[in-house]
Amino acid sequence: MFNRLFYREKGLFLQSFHPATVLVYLLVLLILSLIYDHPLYLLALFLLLALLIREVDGLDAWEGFLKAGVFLMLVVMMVNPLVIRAGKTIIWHGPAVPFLGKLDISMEAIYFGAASSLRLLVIISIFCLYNLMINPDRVLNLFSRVAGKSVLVITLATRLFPTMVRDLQRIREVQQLRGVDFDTGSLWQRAKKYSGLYNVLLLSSLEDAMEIAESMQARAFGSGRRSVYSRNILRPRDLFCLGGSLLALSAAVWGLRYGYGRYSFYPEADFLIKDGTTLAVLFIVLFYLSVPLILSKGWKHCRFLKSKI
Amino acid sequence: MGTSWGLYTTLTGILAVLLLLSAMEKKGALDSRQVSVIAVLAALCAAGRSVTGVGLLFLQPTMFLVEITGFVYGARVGFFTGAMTPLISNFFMGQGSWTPWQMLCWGLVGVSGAVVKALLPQAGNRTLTAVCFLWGYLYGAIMDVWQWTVFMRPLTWQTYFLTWAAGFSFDSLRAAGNLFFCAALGHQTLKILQYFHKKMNIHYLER
Repeated sequence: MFNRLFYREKGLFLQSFHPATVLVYLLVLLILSLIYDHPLYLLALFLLLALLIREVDGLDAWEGFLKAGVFLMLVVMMVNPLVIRAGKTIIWHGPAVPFLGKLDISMEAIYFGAASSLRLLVIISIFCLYNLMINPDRVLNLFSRVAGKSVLVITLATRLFPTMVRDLQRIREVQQLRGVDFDTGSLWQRAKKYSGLYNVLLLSSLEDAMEIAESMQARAFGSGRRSVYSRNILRPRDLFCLGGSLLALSAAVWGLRYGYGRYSFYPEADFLIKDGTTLAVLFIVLFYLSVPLILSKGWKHCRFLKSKI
Repeated sequence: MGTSWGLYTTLTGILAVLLLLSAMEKKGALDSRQVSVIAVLAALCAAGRSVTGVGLLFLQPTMFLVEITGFVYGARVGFFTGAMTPLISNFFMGQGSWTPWQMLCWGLVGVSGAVVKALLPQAGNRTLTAVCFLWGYLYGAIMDVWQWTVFMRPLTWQTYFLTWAAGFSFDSLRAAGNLFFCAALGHQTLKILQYFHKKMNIHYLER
C-alpha cells in the first residue's frame, strides 16, 4: 500500500538533477506557497505542481497524499468561517454560542477558508514531489559532509527498520511453534502475549546495537577526521534550474514589495485580478518556476536541447 | 493579515532542529555505543509509530519508549532518539513541513524523561506513565500551534482553541494509548534499558 508513496528510480529526466538543485527548487516553492495570500497565485502554483507530478509519473502517489490532507482541509474550512467576524457579507445569522459569541457566517470567511485549504494542498503536493523526485540516499549523501553523525544515525535506523519488521515476524513464529496462539484469548490475554513479543524484540535489538557499536569501534569510528566520497555532478540542467529558482524568488519578493501576491479578504475581498501587472508578475514568477518542466519536455521532444543539457 | 506567520513558524522549527542536531556533530559528543543505541531505538520507535499508527489510529506504542529512553540514558540520547523517530517514520508516512515541529515535540518527550530523572531519581513506572499520559495532550497542543499559525487567520485565542478542539478526540486517543502501553509495557522496558545502560557504561581509566 505504501510502496507507491516512496521514491522509485524510474530513470526520468526530473529524477536526474543534483540533489542540492532539487532542494533549492522545492524550498523556493515552499517559501512562495507560505508567503503568497493571493488565491490566483496559489492556484497557479498548484497547477504547476500537478504538471510536475504528472511529469514524474506520480499521479497515483499524489492521490494518496491528497487523501491524507482532506481531514486537515476540512478543519481549516470549518474553523475559519465559525470564528472570523471581520467579513462584511453575512450569509447566515447564527445563534449566539458561549465563548465564541454570535455565529455569523460571512462569505469572506468561507472564501478565506477555501484559499487556506488550497495552500494546504500546495504544501502537501510540494512534499509529494519531493518524495518522487529525489532519492533520499542522495540527499543524505549531500549532508554527510557537514553532519556525519546525524546522517549515520538516520541511515542506520532506516536500514534497521525493515530488519525489525522481519525480526518481529521471526520471533512471532518461534513463539507460535512453542505453542503461543496469538489469535485466541481475551483482549488482556492477547495483550500479554504481544508484550512478550515486544520484550524479546527490544532485547534482541539492543543486543544488535552493542554489536553495531563494536563493529563501528573496530572500523575506527570517531578516531579522527572523516573522509567523504560523493559523486554528484552539476550539469547545465542544474544551473538552469538553480537560476530559474533564484530568479523566481527574487521576482516574487520584488512583486511582494509592491503588493503583487498580497490579497486582503476582509472586510470585503479584493478583486481577483486588480490590474494587468498582477497577471504579468504571476506570469514571470511562474515562467521561472517552470524551468524544470520545460527542460523535461525538451528532453523528450527536442534532440538539440537533449544534447546540451 | 499580510504577515507570513506560517513561514516564520516553519522556519523557526527548521532552525531549532538544525541547531539542536548540530550539537550532536560536536566532536566527542557521542561515542559509538550511544550512536548505535540511538539508531536502534529510533528505528524501533519509528517502526512502532508507522506500523501501528496506521492500523490502530493513534494508539502508538512509541511515546513511552522515547520517554523511558530519556529517563535511563539522559537528555541527550533521549532527545536524539525522539527527534529521529518522526524523521525516520516520515520517510514511510510522508515528509512535510510538519516534520521539524514533530521532531522538536518528540525530542522534548525524551528530554522530559531526563527531567523526571533529575527531579525524582527514584521515580518508577507510575510517574512515567502519568507524564506520558500528559504528553498525549501536550503533543497535540504543540502541533496545533504549527497548524494554527500556518492555516488559520486571524491568529486569536479563539481560533487556536477551535483548532485544538478539532483535534481533541485524536489527542485523547493518543493519551489513552500512551497510558495503556506505558502501564502495560513500561516496567519491563525500564528494566531492560537499565540493564543495557549498565552494560554499555564504560569508563576508561586512561586514554
